[in-house]
Amino acid sequence: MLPEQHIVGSAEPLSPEETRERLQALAAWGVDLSLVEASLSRTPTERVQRMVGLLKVVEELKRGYAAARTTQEPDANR
Amino acid sequence: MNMLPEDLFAHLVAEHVDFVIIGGFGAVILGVPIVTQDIDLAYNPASENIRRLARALEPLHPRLRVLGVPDEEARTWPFRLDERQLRQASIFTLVTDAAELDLMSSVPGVGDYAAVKAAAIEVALFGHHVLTLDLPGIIAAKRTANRPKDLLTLPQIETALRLREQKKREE
Repeated sequence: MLPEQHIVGSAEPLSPEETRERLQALAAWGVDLSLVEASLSRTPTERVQRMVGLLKVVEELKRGYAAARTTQEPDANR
Repeated sequence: MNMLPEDLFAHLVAEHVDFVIIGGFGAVILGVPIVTQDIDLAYNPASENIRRLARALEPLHPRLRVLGVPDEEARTWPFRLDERQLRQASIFTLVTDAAELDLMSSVPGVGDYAAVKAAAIEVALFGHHVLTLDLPGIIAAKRTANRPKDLLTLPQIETALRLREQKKREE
């Protein structure tokens, strides 16, 4: 990604038309608007619970990967 | 470690700690679909509040989080996050039994604790009413931090802000 392609977030007030254009630019940059919209439809507690669930999956994957490496490389820790 | 944010907030609310959730965790609370491994909090540095903060965190066994040092080793260090420690510095990078936790009494890009609180909104979280720095403040803080990891989340944070604005106009 080139620096000039990176949209630096802004919080300046925008008109409705500017907001639409800005959202189009953010989608073109790669933001999945439907994911953000889905997240906004949840309660704050649901959003945090969902993120904590994702973290648990990542931890499990890390543990599984580490266990598989130990099994495949029995001499690695000697 | 598993993140148990409900435990952390239950202790903070029970002790009436004056705090504002900031950073990536605040963004998640406000609808930004990102994942963050720690919780960042701004706290009121007034003496009474520091006492409450120390009391609230004590049952969660706060210890220092240092790059390259395993938590097992950090647990053995003679560190105690008490009032004295909290008065000696304004930024702490910690691990607790509930979450990895960063504490600070001001937020670059937003200001001192009063400014952070003025830029916060109240949300219901795990049955408690807590303050979270609103999205414009989170954007200002991340733009000031200017680290690649902060800059990468800015488009998603701004998208949540713009969609929220659009929805408000339609209502």
